[in-house]
Amino acid sequence: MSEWAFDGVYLYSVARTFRKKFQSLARNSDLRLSSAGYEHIPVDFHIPILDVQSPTVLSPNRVLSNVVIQGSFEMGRRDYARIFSQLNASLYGAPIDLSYRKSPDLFISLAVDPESWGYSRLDVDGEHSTLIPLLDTTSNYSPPFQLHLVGHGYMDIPPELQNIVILHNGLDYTEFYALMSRMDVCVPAFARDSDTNYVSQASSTVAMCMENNVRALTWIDSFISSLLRKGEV
Amino acid sequence: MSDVSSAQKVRLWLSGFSRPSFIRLAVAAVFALSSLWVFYELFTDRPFSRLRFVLGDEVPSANPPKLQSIAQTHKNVVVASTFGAHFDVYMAVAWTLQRIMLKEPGNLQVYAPTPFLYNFQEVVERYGLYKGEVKDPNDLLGDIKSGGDDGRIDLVILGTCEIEYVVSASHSAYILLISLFCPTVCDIGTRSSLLHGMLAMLHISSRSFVLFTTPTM
Repeated sequence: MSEWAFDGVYLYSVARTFRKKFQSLARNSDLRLSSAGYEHIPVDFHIPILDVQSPTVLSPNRVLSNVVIQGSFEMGRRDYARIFSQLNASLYGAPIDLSYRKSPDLFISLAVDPESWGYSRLDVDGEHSTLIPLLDTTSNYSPPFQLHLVGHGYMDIPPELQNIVILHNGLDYTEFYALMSRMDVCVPAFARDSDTNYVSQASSTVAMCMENNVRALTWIDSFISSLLRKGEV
Repeated sequence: MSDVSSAQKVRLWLSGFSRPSFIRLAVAAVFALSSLWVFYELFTDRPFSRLRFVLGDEVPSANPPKLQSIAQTHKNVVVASTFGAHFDVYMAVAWTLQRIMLKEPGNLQVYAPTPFLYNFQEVVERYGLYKGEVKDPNDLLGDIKSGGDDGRIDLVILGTCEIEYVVSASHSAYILLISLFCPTVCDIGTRSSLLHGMLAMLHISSRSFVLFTTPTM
């Protein structure tokens, strides 16, 4: 799948950003800046990785069930609105917000075959329906797909997604590492109106994925297009 | 046999080419030079072109870094922070240093706000990230000046946050360095902060220091 990207190798862009900023200062027309010796400041990078020992052993044959978005609950930092919109559209056929139409869908349509995603559809009043998790009674049972939001702060989850989106607020580190060890995929969900996390700044989400050995799912087209816009490739 | 100048030799050599061939040659030369430039960029800016300290499974077992071959130039190293978060990042740095510094006599100290939030102390103890006492960051300035309990502090690694004393830019370390190197240019009004005090002290006393920017949350 082209959408999968791993290992956060773009972390090194932080060092590159500093080098560029210092070089720019060294060329500044203000003598006070250009004579300060910024070009001689050594810039290097080291990615500290805490080698977390996972308390959970996941089966290699498991189905994709647990997806996590990790980080402080700030709509400006992460694209929760688009995720909710797409998830809602996938589950209930709701129209996707026009501003999100151009972005690739994160979720395959769950509305077509909710059973394969561990849910059954329950009609509420003839017009509306909701999804409820399937019970583990059949041989081909698949655990329900769940989106976990882990962080701290306030998050308003749409009522129709209450069964699917699980909020974990203010976990301590032991609980956090235990939860991460159960996750199949981590979605950084960086805000779409900024490419900072792709070209100049590191995100702790990437470090957390590496520490907990959780694969990161990001939009490689966003990554590449950001670099192209910045003239990095 | 009469001597032929270098310029004439080149002219004679070039005369052997037709004009289209000459253009092709020139285009090929431009591409060759461009590729050299590209490769130079790759080799000077590649993330893993130099030796790194990598922990755990990331260490390639077939060709592990020879840590013993690297001279330990700093004997009394401090990892310090005045920020209330990101300890999971800078304590991992302390963990790396502690493991490396076991090879030769040395001393590692941590100055940070305690207790660590979200019960991170339990992680520190479980993994043995740092076995010493975490000291009060307010004591660091005095310890740098006096030489400290365990000898002269010769390297300070400061863990900083992007929002720490930042006015408009996203990189706190960048702003801090501007304020330190060019105080007449950048006056961000936080010169009396503990972090700036540490930086000023390190600068005045000519101690080595590293500003370590932590990733954003």
